[in-house]
Amino acid sequence: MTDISSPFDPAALDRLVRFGGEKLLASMIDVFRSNGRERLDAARAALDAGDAAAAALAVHSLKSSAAQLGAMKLSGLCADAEVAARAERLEPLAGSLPELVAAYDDAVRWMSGRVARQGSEG
Amino acid sequence: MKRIAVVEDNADNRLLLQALLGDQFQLTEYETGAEALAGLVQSPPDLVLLDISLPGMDGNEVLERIRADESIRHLPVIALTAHSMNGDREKFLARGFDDYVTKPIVDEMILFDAINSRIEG
Repeated sequence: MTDISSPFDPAALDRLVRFGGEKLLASMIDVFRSNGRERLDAARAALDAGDAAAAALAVHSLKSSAAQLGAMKLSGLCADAEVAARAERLEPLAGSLPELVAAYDDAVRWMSGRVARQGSEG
Repeated sequence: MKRIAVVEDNADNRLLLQALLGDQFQLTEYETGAEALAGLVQSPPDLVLLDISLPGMDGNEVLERIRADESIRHLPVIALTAHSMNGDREKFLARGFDDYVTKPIVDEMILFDAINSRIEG
């Protein structure tokens, strides 16, 4: 299991602001909101179809985006599910999907809160 | 301005690369391997940033096809991937990638160095 000491890494969001300002951060969060949900839907569909390769691709993409945006718990859950799916094992993803969805929702709330706080302070 | 082809299916990663590289390079974005191969042949860039986990044709297959095509086999290709396990770097270099940069991008200088060392000023 991937060890996640903290669900979120605020430094990741600060880093994105350094890379491209608040505009880049807001744009990346917007994309994460829509694409993340699509990846979760794709993972669920892949589970239903028993398609391990498609499941691995869906959680891999979500893992990458989540890590760049500091959603470390979500990224870790995706990493575990990806490793299993690449070994043709879908049970771990099936078991963790509710937790994965909850972690995604938590991550979106956390990111949105960061942007809202920045807006009110700026 | 030197040209870089970005082959990446994740829109957020494309946004990030545009923010990091857009001022220094002319970027052409492709979302799939097939789209990229057609574009690379038609208008070869100076360097390719190639994601590995692409839907359909993955980055490894895209690289194989680049290296098999006389007109674009010379292009420097940097693997950009969230596959980051021990031994991955050697594995990707052995496959024919010119370099390997991991995601998430934490230190942008690693990306800049990988690009600049393969693009002539």
